[in-house]
Amino acid sequence: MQGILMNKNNLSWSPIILLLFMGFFQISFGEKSQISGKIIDENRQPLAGVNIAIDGTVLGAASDLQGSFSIQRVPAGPITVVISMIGYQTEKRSITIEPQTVLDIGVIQLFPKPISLETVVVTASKYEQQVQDVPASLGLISRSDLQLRNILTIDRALQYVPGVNMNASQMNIRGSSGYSRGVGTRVFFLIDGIPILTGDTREVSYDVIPTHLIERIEIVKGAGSALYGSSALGGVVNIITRDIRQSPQMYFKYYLGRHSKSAFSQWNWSDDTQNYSGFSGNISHKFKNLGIQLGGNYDKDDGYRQNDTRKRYSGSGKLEYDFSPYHQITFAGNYMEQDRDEFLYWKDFQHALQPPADQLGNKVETKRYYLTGQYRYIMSKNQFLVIKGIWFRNRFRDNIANNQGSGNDSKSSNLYSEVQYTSRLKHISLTTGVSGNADAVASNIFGNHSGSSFAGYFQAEGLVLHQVRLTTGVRMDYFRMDSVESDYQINPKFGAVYTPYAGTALRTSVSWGFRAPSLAEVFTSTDASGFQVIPNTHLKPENSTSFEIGINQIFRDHYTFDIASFHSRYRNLIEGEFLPTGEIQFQNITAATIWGIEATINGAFLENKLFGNLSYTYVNPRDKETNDYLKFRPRHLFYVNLNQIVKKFQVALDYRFIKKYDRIDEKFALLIEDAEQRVDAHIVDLRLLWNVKINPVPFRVTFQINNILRYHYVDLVGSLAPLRGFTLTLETGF
Amino acid sequence: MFEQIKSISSWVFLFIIILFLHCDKGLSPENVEPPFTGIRGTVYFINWPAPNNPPPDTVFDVRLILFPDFPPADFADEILSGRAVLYPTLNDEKLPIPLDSLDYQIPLQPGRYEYFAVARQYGDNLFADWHVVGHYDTTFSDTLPTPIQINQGQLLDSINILANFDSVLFEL
Repeated sequence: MQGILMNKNNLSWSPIILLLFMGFFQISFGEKSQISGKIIDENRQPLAGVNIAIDGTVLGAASDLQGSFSIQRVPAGPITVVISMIGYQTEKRSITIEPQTVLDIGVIQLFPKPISLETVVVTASKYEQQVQDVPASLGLISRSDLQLRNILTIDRALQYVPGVNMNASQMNIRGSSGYSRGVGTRVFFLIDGIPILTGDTREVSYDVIPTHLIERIEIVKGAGSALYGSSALGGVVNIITRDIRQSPQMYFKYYLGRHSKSAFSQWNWSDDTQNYSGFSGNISHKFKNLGIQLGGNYDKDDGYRQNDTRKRYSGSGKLEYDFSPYHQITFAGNYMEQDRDEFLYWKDFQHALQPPADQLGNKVETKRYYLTGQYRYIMSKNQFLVIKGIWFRNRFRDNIANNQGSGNDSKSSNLYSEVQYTSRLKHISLTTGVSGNADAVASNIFGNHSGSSFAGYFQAEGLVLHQVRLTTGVRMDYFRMDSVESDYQINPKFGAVYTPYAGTALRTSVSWGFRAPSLAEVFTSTDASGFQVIPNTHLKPENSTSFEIGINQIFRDHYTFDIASFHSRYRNLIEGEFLPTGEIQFQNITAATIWGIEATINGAFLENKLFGNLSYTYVNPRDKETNDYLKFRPRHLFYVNLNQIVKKFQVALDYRFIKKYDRIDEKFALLIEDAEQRVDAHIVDLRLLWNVKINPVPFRVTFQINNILRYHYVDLVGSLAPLRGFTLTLETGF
Repeated sequence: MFEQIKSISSWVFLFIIILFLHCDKGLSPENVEPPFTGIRGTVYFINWPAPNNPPPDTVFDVRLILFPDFPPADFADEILSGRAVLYPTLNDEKLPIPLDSLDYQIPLQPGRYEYFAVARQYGDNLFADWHVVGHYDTTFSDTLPTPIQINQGQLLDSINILANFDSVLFEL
């Protein structure tokens, strides 16, 4: 009874609190105004998709097909309008708005500037920074990169980033990760700054975020646990989704394609053709201060290998509400279902596109969904507060025979929340925050277990002598898992950027990272497909220290050159180890050092009609225990990309060279026939685009041939990478 | 003009890479030796005739022979037609006799071999003077030979034979 009364009391207060909040925000909206304008390009043609933001507020818009934009509910007083678009120079206009007015700021012309000092990233410090102010190496994938390559899942986009290669589905930045059988990523993944890792394996689900929602992807290379905590040993990937625009936006894509047969008739397993197709679309609109975005997609793939089909559909939504120009709350979510066959490894090298007979018919059903919430409060031009969180739920079921004979069924949840406060003083930016994380799993593989962690962090960044920017920070994480001893980690970082001239930046940083073992690594107990895995409740966290020194130079806005030398030390690395009895157990077995160099050159020529980039990465990954190479690390990566625009057409080409692994897990040979088969990879992708407008809706038609040379290589052990694929894509958006 | 040269040279550079790589298909099943198909084991020899014994105890040669049928057809016809498999082959050097034992590995075509024998050449007629001093027999209840079934990619191990020069099992 008392409980009910208390609830009633609480309920009775709720409307009052709500009214107080509404009243407070109404005051902020009291003297609203509106600004509008038009953006044109260097040929004085309307420029669509340009971001227009009002500095120090949550307000913004994008230009429509006519280049026009308008922003409502603008606060009266002096404001700065920032107009930006990737590939163009950034414009700023300082104006003063009178109360209750509509102000046309006129026509603003943007000129192409593909390489800009003003490119802004948010991942390195949890707030906006220009690229040359960051003391670490960065990678960027733009929305147009995703569209031009018809990227369906994020892992396919990451494989073009300098210094990155994918070991099957596991991301390896500069040798940080080998292959850990789908558990325990050493790269931390975020969506809009919110961690998105599964609760059971602490792995990345590349298929849970539809690529048509993405604005850009930022990659920070090197350990990042001083800000992000566990899993950020090798780097951090942040997926930034698109904002909701003031004007109605619509986007639709349809694609279809076909897998080539192998160049060798022995490997072809079917006379039928193997096709793939799919569509995606989304709409968004902002009704006064409420923005809504809805989207969905469907993908179907017959697979180039036997027992490798896949069907996936998902639906997504985003709600954004501006309480005032300074308060915004956003909710976003996605629901994904996937049915796929399971191809683990080949039958033998003579049957490289077929699984062993006892694995035919293996299937996996997956359901994943997440809900994120983010509240942004811009307290002043120099202070902001962010409260954010995520609930991420995963379930997979398969029919793979195991020692219980009934297939596997696993459900896991991850709940995360964080409060971040940033303050900018005259020359110093201070960021501090606290976060909490909870994981739970109910599974016949991992058992029924839970884990949690809490953390606090602090970072300071300041400009010294106008030319040197120093960064320092520290984070403490406390974590526990049921039936396992609790533990804590303290990880600091230091960085410096020296800018002697505009366009020249010398950087250095040293940072610490750690990864707490996942529930899966500690508790897995299964016997499937020839692998028997047993638990290990004595696992400790693995640690890393990364040092980097580099220089970034921009020449005449047309070329950038970046070279970095890096050195990392790893301790207590967790690897799945075959025991003398034949089982696999995750153990802290290895200490390692990895050093290397990375050089990248970007250039734009022919009045920005031709642009390209070239990168080379060398890593020397040494296992200190065995004095041998680390497993599953290619030592040389060489990537080239070239794009040329010819009127309404664009031709693009990617070439990637990936040196073959020096070492694989030799024990795989006990289970996988011909496990030692591997070669250097030479992969060439070619694309031809045609941009056309039909009254006045823009369409883009893309013809794409991936792996045009039909080069056969393995992407792990006993697994041929995708053969040549032909894809035709039609896109429209307005 | 200089910019256009850079554009053209960039594409030329990439197409040269593509042409250079075009002939290479990476991994190829054709570059891999097919898995060994055949048998292996040990032949143990006992009761070698004394070297100075006059004929018919002289050992001119010793070979292992696999016949598709049992009893085998004419020895010379089977060898010359290639239906029977000889080890060492006629082109190879003879075994260095006498031996206590011989470890062998014989590649075979997939199929059924009814008779696997150790043959001794006791006279100077290469095509006639042969008899069997041992054969593959896993059943001790009789003296009939045990056939061998070989599948593609299969290596049958421990196909061991006792060759006794004191007993002639079969005249070839």
